[in-house]
Amino acid sequence: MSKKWIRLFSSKSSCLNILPIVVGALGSGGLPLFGLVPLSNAESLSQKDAKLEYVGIGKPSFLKVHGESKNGVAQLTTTPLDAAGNQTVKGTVTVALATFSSGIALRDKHTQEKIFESAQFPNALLTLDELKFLQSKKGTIDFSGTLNFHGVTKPVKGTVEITSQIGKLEYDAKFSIQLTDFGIKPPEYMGMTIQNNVEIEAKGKAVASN
Amino acid sequence: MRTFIALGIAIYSFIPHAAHAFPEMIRHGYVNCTTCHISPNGGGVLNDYGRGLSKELLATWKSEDESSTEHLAAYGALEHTSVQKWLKLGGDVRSLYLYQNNPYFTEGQTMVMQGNVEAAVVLSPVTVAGTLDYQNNSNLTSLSKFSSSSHYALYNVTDEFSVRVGKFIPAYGINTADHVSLTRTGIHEGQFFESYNAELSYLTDRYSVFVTGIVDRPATFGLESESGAAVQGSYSFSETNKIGLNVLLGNSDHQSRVLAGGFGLIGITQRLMFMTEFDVQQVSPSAMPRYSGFLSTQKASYELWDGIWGFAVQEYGITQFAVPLTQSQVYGIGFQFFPRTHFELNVSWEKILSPVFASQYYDYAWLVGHFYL
Repeated sequence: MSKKWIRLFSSKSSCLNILPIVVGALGSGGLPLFGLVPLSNAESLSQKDAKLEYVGIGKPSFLKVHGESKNGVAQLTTTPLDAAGNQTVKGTVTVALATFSSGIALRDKHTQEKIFESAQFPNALLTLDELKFLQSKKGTIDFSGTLNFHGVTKPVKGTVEITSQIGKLEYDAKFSIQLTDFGIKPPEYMGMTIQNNVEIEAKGKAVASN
Repeated sequence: MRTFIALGIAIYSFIPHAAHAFPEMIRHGYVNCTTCHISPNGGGVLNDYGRGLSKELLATWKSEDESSTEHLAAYGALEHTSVQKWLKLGGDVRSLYLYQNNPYFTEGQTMVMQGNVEAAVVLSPVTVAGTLDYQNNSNLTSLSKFSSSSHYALYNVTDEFSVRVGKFIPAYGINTADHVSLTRTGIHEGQFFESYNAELSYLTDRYSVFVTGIVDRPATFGLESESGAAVQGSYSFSETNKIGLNVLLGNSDHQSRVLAGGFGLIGITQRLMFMTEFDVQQVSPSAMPRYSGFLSTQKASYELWDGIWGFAVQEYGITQFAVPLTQSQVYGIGFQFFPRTHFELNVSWEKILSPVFASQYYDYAWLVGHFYL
């Protein structure tokens, strides 16, 4: 086993980080073993600095809490254009919750310990269901998928803007979640309560991974 | 004209007021003043969250102990008491070293300039707040040595809507801490121009609207008492920016005025901040021709280190377009230092050209030490 693989599997979080890549590769890479899209027709794209952002609004003053993750891993698979100019994409974005920062150290500490409980649930995994899009048309389209967060997997729906070129795909997906759906009580701190509804954005640029 | 001269000299001879409101917090996404303050348009008693931010975001040094109560009112004297939930206290003491060097005199003086105690009783959805002020230099103004600059009752109808009645600063422009900027003194708004009002406010994460009926702004600084109305609307975008427009109509016994302007709070980064405000004022005296003027203030601030700010200020104003003598230009630099929660130092040096007072630039500098309870 190469040093690289040893490094990837050397910690719990690394294992979990690589898991969706493996799952993504198996599921969407179209290995003939699973009888999915033939490998020759699919293009694997990946990204090592994918970003997940959240925006929560606190009342009573409507303050915005904006956190950003770092070094997320995106693994996407696209199919070639069909006769009508459509493509499909599916895949995963995985982020380590410990990398989230909102710009205030104490708030991040509380978020990690009391909300994310990132020691127990180190990663969030967004899985995008197969999505058909017209390559030549820019704009937002609806998507569906699942989000595994805080030990709970729930379906999510939102909009995504995709720009696809050969060997490259830019994405900007937006959706919202209810904290209580993921077993999280809306946090309250010094008279400020974050609303149950939190906006999530996943964006980045994945490139051909070979 | 004489009123303007008297007012300008009086206020510029007067004393800068240190931080009450701190709109620079918008760079962290705090677009509404109520994040930190009880008052919908900022200033005055801090709420619990504001106390927390005074430690986490403003101070250079802080206790690493999360259970520390040093940032709370009176260092947490009320913590663990039954009144802590509904009684919010505050207060300030400010000392000043003021230096002026102009064609008529060069002078430096030190004084304890101001002190006040503030309290708010928060029985949601109703809040009653008030302050008792002490002014050391009341001989320079018409202010009493002891007075109450603010006292009001606030009713939060919903999370978005609130109604307030009492004495406070109407929402107009940026409610900055200082009271020497042209866009405060020149338009007779801000500290020392508090009025008796009825206010309806609507606040969300993107929009805020204030509609204020000004019942009476008591006579002060040689100005007649004034009544009128003000409307302010603002829009927040990209989480750290806010722009707004406002208009104020004022009537007194011998004149009326229309004031209109805009402002912007731009959080460029989490350390770099830009503020701008501009106002156009048309005054219609009953016994004189109508006149108009323009006032603007720009301030760029950069947080050099946690709690240490450098800033630069530029101002331009002309209170009567037809009278060039009423122009003013101000260029200033300074530092603001929040070493530890409850403490602030503010040093500023300005070069001012105000032909109505002197024909050449003169120096105006101050060092303010501020302790807030």
